[in-house]
Amino acid sequence: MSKGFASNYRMVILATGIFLCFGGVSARLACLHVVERGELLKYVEQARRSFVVENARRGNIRDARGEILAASRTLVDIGLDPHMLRREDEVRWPDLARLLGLTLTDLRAAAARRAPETGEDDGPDAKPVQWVKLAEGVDENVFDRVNELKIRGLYGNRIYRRYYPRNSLAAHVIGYVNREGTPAAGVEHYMDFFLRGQSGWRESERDGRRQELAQFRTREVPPVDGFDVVLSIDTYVQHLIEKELQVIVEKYSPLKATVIVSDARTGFVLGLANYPTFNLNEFNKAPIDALRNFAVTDVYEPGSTFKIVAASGALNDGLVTRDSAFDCGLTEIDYHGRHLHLPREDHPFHELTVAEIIGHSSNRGAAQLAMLLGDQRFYAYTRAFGFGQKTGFPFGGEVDGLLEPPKRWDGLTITRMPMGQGAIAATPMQMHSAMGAIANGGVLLEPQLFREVRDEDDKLVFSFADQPRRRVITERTASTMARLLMGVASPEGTAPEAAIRGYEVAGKTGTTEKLVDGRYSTTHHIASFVGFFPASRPRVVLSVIVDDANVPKSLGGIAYGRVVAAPSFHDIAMQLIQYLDIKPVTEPAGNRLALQGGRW
Amino acid sequence: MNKSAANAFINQVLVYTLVMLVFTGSIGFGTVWLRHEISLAANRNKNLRTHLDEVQRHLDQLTAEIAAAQNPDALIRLDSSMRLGLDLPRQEQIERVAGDVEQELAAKRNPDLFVPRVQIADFRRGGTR
Repeated sequence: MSKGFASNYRMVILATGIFLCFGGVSARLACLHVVERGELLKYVEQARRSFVVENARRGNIRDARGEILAASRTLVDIGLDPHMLRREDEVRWPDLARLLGLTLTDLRAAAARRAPETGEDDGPDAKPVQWVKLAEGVDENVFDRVNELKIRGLYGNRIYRRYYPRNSLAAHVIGYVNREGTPAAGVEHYMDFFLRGQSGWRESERDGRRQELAQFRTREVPPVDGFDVVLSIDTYVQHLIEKELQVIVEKYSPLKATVIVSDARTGFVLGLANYPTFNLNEFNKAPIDALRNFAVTDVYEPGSTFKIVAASGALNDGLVTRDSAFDCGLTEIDYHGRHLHLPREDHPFHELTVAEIIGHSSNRGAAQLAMLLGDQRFYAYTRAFGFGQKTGFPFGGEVDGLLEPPKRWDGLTITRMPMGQGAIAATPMQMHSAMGAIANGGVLLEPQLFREVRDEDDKLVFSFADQPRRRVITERTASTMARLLMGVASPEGTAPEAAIRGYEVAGKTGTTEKLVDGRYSTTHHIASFVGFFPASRPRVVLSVIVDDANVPKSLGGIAYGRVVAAPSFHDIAMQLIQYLDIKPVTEPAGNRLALQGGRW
Repeated sequence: MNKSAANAFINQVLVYTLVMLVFTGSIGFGTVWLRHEISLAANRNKNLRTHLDEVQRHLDQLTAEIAAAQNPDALIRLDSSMRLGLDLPRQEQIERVAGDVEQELAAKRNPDLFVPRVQIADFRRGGTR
């Protein structure tokens, strides 16, 4: 065996040293891993382990054409740590102040605030101020420009906020998400399941500077973004009805008003607007009353618009034809052995056919039609048209309305209810749906507001179809009713103002006396016009309902449906015809510009 | 114990220990290098995701700005400030065409070639409908 390069003694010393070193390291390892294990692990858990929730992006709400009605975006709260500021950065403070919309004095005051102000936590253990807020809700572009200034000690905290780019447009439909991120009303609340998505999370570790050590990510569940909800509301239609509401408000200063537009064939709501309304981006500043969707939450006595029920019922049961005549000059009538007083008329009438009863809106005529039907049948038709029950409008706190059963009627109900007074009170949406049933050939439809749900790649997830509720009257009766309702918008009817040349406008005026202190007022009215067009192939159902309009003396001083609501119906319809490309049914006369070869 | 044999044994132990140290050291260094690379890759990934999030935030911001700019009220204000004089078409400006639109347009532009169209126009001008 070869001779070693070291002596035995040295070898033993060296080997002993090495083994002692290893022994020391082993002992320390054993101590760390066995004896102090629990305490150290606790420390590591606290100091290094991180659990981060990754928020899903909330889906957008879009209109029928894909326009964004509600979106999510990040805003930044910008603040500074006064202790971290550098003197050499002060030359860039004027730029910072300009970007944040502050004065230089404000900025200097914020930078000088190093200790808590008097009254705050200023005891002996008070911590120095490390965050002074400079601006709230700054958008990303401005924050980028602030970062470009490279001022040390300036920080931004990102917050996710819901943004409504169209402000008050369709406010009662869209609803809002409050500052805590909780959907509080409208589509935001009702479709939250689809919109909110699913937050993800990840487990990881942090270093001593609280920075994530990405290599130590152990478990990770990625967030799933929320779906986009596509409404049947059309931004343009919504805009034009809201403009018309503004016109009504400027002219008549009403207490409230509602306009509803829907597709006659499917029941999809194209526009729904209320006055008063509110700005969705400032929902917290709106009075509580303005947040209500009057179209479904408030009831009113529908007045003469309700006459469609008695007329439809009598025609549908074959009790009358459009030419059956009734003496509308009667003031009293016998009914089931009782002697009843008939309601008064605005104008004296004598004998009127069913067509004329509708066209002239005769109260006594409507009462006699209901009497022909009898209490039970009239009540059954009223229920069938959807009164006294929810229409199925998906949110907004819809109410049932009021419909008393015949056993609770008093002696006058059968004479007053057919003209929409007394034992009946409906929401604007119920009246709109009832008229929609005539427009749709006798089938009552559920008002639909949602078209589709789409994922982040715009792929279709769910599609909504029209929802027929029941057949109320036959197609033939509906067609006859449509023809009768055309008489309302004729020169002989109660609302020639609603007529449109070349189009068959079918509708019904309503002028309801409001109950004030338990008595019907002669000065406070609810004016309405509910109708559809073209009558022979309906495309659009449109309701205009105005509560307590102040009509000037020059216009008669009384808020008749003809004066207040019918002109707005006409103006909205004129624009809808162009926008929806609704073809005239009859040839309109005299189109001079077109005849000149379209040179305009 | 034979002295030279004992030395040789110790020498062998030392050599093996050194070889072992070098070997385990290499593995250690290799592991550190690997973990460093993993950490670099993880950080690159994290930065990419941060960047993607940032782009998504900017996209959301842009979407919101575009939607706000397309608000009908904003467009009307723009029309007014730029004095464009844009307006909705009026009913009397609209000619509804039942047949072939191209032929109708051609007839408008070339009335000499499309005599029947001109005759219809003359008929309507004097009409009572």
